[in-house]
Amino acid sequence: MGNSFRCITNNPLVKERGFWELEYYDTDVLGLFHLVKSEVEAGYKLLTHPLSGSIRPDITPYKTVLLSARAEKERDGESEGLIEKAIRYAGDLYGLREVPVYKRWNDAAKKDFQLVDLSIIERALEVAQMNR
Amino acid sequence: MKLTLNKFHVKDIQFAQADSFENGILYVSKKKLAEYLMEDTNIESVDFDIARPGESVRIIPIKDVIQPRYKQSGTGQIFPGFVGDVETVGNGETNVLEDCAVATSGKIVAFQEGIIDMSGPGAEFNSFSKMNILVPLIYPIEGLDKHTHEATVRIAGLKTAAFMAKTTLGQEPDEKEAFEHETILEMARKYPDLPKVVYVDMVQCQGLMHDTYVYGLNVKGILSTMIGPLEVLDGAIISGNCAAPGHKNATIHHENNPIIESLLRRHGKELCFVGVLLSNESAMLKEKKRAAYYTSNLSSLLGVDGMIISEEGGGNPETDLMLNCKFHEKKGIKTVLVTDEYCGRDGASQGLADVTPEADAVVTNGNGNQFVVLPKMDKVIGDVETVRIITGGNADSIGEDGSLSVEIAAIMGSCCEMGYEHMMTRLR
Repeated sequence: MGNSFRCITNNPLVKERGFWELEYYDTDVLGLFHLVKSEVEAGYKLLTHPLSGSIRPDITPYKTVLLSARAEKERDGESEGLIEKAIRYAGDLYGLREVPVYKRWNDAAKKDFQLVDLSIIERALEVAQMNR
Repeated sequence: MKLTLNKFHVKDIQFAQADSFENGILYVSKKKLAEYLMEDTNIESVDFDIARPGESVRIIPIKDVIQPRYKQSGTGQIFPGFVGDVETVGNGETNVLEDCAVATSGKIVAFQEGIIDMSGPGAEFNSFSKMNILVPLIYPIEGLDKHTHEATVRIAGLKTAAFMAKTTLGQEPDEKEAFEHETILEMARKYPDLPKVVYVDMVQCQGLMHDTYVYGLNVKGILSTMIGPLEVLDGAIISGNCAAPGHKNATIHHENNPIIESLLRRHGKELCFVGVLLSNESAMLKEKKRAAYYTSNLSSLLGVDGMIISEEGGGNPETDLMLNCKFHEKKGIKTVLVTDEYCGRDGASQGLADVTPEADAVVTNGNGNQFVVLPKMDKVIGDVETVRIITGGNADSIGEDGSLSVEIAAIMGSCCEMGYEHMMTRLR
C-alpha cells in the first residue's frame, strides 16, 4: 500500500528518519515554498499549513510540507491561496534583515530546528491517524 | 459558581531560612524550595535569583511566566493535573500573589525564549517589569531528551508558583475580587434580553514546544470543547508553548486572561457571557477546519449572538483565526478577532499570514517586528548570549557596548494576543 500523502522537506532529520517516501530538497524555506507552489499548480493539495509551527520562516531553516498523494485535474483554490500567502509572508520576513536570521545558526541550533520540524510533522500525522 | 480571588500585594521577595509572607514581604527558603523541585529526578541542580522593579536587571532566556496562586478553599488545587490532582477548580477562594511572578530560566530547551528587562526602555513593553520576580534556574541531568526537558522546566515553574503562594494560607488578603458564573440555563432565564457572547480561546498543540495543557491533558487532536471561565482563572490551562516570546500565551496570561475577566465583569450587566470554547491550532489543514467548524457548531448550539476570539502565535494560527471567523459569521454570529502582527520594520507589510473578508472587526496588539535597542544592564540572570538564538534576536544582537538590538518579538508578552499589555497598532 502506498502513502496517502507526499512529503516535501528540506529537513535532513526527516530525511534521516526515512520512514516516509519523501522528497528531499537542499533549499531554504522560501525555496521549498516555491517548489510546493508548482506542485499545487499541478493539482496537488496541501495537507499541512506551509507555515506550520510557531517559528517564523525567516528564523527556521527547515520545513516539511505534506501534499495529497494524487493530483486532481482542477487546482485546489484553498491550497493555492495558502501557499501564495505563505510565500508573501516569508518573503516579507526575509526582507527584515540584509542576511535572514536562518542563515546564521550553528550546528547545535540547526539540530534543534530540525527536531522541532520533525516533531510537528510526526504530531500532524499522529493526530490525523496517518502515521504508520 | 463563585470564585473569590484573595489578592496579596507583594512588595518584595527575600531569601530566608523559612518560608513566610509577612507585611507584603515574601520570604522564600531556597533550600526547601530546591528540595521540593528536586523531587523530580530529571533535575540535576537548581538555583534561584530575584529581580525587582526598577533594578538594572535583565532576565534571559525565559520560557514561561506564572503568577503564584494557591487554593484557600474549594475543590481541587491550583494547576490541576500538575500541582493539584485532577479535580474541578474554579470555586471557593484562591490566594493570589499580585505584583509577583515566577519566570523559569536556566538551561532551557532552545530558541523561542524571551527577555524581561526590569528597567529602561525594554521595561515599557510588558507588565512583568513591574513585578517582583523569582527566577528558578533549572539545570537538567545530562542527556535528557528535549521533550522531557521541556516538561521538567514547565512543571518546576508551576510547583514554584504554588510553593510561594502557599505561604499566604489563612491570612487576610489586601483585597478580594469575586467572579460569579451561572449555568447556561440559569443565565438564559436571568438575562433573556442581553446579547449572548462566547469567548473562543485558541490553544496551540503542534508538537515539541508547541503544546497547551488543560487539566494536565495535552489537548492535541481534541474536538473543540467548552470550559468554565472560572476554571481557567484557577489555573486549568497551562502553557507548554514556545511561540515567539512576544506573543506566546504564557501561563500568567491564562490565569489572568483579560478577555475572560472583562467579560465576567460585564456579565449580567451589558452582556451575557455564555462561556469559553477551546479551539485547537493544529498543523494539519483538515484539523484546522474541523476545529473551526466544530467551534462554530458549539456556538450555534449555545445560541450566541457574538463571539470574541484570541490567537496564540502567528503564521499558521491566522488560518485558524480566519476559519473560525468565517464559519461563525456564516452562521450569523458576529465576531471580534484579537491578534498581533508582523508587519515589517516600518509597519507597512501585510501583518497577518491569512485574512478573510468577514474579518471586519480586528483588535491588534502591536507589531512584533518593531526594532528596539535595549541598553546594557548591570546584572543578567540567565545567559545573555542566548539573545543570538531567540526569536527577535540574531547573531549580531549584542553590541560592543553590551546593548541588545532586537525585535520586540523577543520581549516576553510584548504583543500579547489576549490584550494583557497596552500595545496597539495605529492605522496611518
